[in-house]
Amino acid sequence: MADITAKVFRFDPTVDRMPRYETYRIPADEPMTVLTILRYIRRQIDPTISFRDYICYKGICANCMVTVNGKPVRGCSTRINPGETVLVEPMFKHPIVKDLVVDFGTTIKSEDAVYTIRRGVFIEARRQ
Amino acid sequence: MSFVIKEVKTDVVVVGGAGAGCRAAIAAADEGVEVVLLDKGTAGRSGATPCALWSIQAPFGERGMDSRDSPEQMFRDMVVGGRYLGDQNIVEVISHTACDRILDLESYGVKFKKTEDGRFYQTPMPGQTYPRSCFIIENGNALSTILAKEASQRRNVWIRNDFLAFHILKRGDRAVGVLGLDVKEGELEAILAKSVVLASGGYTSIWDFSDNPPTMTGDAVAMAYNAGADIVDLEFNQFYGTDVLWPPSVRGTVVLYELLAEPFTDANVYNSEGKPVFPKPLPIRDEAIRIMYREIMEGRGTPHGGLWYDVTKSPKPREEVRRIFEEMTPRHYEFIKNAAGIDLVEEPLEVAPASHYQCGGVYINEKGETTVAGLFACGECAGNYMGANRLAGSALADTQTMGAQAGRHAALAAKKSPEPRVSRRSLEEEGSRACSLFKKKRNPISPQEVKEQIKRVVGRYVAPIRDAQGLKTALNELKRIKSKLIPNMAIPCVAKYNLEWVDALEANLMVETAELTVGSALFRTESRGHHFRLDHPETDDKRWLKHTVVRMKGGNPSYFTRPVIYTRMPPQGA
Repeated sequence: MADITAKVFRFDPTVDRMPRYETYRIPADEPMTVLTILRYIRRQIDPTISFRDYICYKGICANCMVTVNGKPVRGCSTRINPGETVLVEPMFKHPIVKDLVVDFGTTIKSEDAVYTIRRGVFIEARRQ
Repeated sequence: MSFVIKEVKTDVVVVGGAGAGCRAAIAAADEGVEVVLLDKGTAGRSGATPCALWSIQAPFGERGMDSRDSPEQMFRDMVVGGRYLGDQNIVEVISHTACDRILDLESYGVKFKKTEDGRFYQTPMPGQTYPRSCFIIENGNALSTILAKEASQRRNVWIRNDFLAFHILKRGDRAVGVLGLDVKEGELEAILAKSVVLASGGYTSIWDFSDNPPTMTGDAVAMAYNAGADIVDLEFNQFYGTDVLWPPSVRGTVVLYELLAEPFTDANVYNSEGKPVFPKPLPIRDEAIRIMYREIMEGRGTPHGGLWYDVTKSPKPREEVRRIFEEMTPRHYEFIKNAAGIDLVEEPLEVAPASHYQCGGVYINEKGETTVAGLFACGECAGNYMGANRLAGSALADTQTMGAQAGRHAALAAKKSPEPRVSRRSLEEEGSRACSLFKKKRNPISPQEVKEQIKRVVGRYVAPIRDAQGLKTALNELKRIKSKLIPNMAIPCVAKYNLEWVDALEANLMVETAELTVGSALFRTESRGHHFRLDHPETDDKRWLKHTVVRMKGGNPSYFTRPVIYTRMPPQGA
């Protein structure tokens, strides 16, 4: 058994001035999907984490889209192997509601949007 | 904790943003009234509709695959399929308007598979006299996203995503809106409306093993019951036989039972002794489910309590088997490969019967009206038209036909209704209940844990085969959860997108729906369609050709029967 290490973007606009990256270790003896990792974190480690859960169970509906290691993916069908470290961030170009939850209904066009993640935004937080 | 409740006024509020809800919102908006559409997630990407496959049934006759088909034939098939327990005033609306609603869908941009000469391509499904299932290209997901877009383009529709409605507001005997949580902001909000349309789907996810999204917590049934509405036939719980049980990353994914038939893979499902469990030709769905359930219960299950879905033993060449999965269900096949690393053509998968669809729900008439003034329901959350069993392709057809019907009538009623008003005190009472979750508890329990316990009880005792003893145990367990655990739910002090708060509010509704479901299953002492009682295995037409109805009386559920409405096809001998 080798732990999966998940570095997860955390940001609550009502209380945080800057986002932070929390590191969680998840015991794993076989590959886990990003969504099963997030569900494990919420159930076993930190119930305050926010993300969008399964809807379709088929890798289609895209409700669970997040950014993993910089790439947009469906959380339900992206596998992480035991021993790997993974960076999980919200989808870019949409305003962040909290943590990994974005408002899919709104697309941010201006560069100066505050609560979004995009090349150049929140860089300092990522260097911590 | 202090709280503020915002108030918003509109003509019609629709709860649920999938197939039925979006269609209801469109129909209401087309009558010229103002509509607010609420969805727990993102409208169009939410509910059970995105999970649906390609099948939506409509009797196109000459414009489809068989000129002999007609609305009257569809009506008959639905009545017989529902074991004469569907109210025929509603089945008439569904069968006679299904074609028109599909043409509406086409005009919104939903694409259907067509023949070369432009007729609807239709496949035969069990229970249909003629091939009647139209083929939606890109499945239910295309249908729901296009409908949501269509609704959002109407100026008089305001879509509120991430809004969990949990209580129906009343003034006197009339529904005057809903109270809910704006999950994004963490604020309570009352949407006052002249008409309320419930379209938030079934209660499949009160079972621990379901192929529906985890959000299908039975909110509509519990909310309607709490508002005094009649609830009907909750004991007809449709399971699907072959849903993936293991590994967890793909738990609840459907692998098609129908593809085991001879024309396809000619494969089988095997028990732990390596024996095939199904005779050939394949038995119909509800029979197959009982065969599987028995195998598992009698100790011949897999390590995780399922059976092996094994197409590697198919007599057909492997490449042909692969082509069948790639052609018939490409998304599922890919998904299981990506999410679990399993190629089901190369290795067996553990499957078991999972909760799939609910035939029962809120009692309605042919206009979608419930027994409470101002309250409407449509889609899976409504109850008395599928009867004891649902035909394939009916669920989507029903979201469009009855969705449009309920939305339109809600709008017409709204035009004649007074301004909705609600007493501030009743609002604050409900609000403080929702906020009491933040209080410190002596023995705090996580709402996730409470939900898991409810699901375990329902999954174990409200199984494909049930009996009085198990159901009574379930009732006691649920009463314990309601009195001991629910009041002790505690949640973190976070406002925005607090999933624990959502879970806790849903758990309140789930335990209610679960209790009513168990009560209804206990009440019907016969077996019919999707309700199979080990202690009453026979179908009893003399006593039970009736609806089970439950209504709140003095704070407790009271169960009684109501005659089925037969408009033109009474059961023989009745």
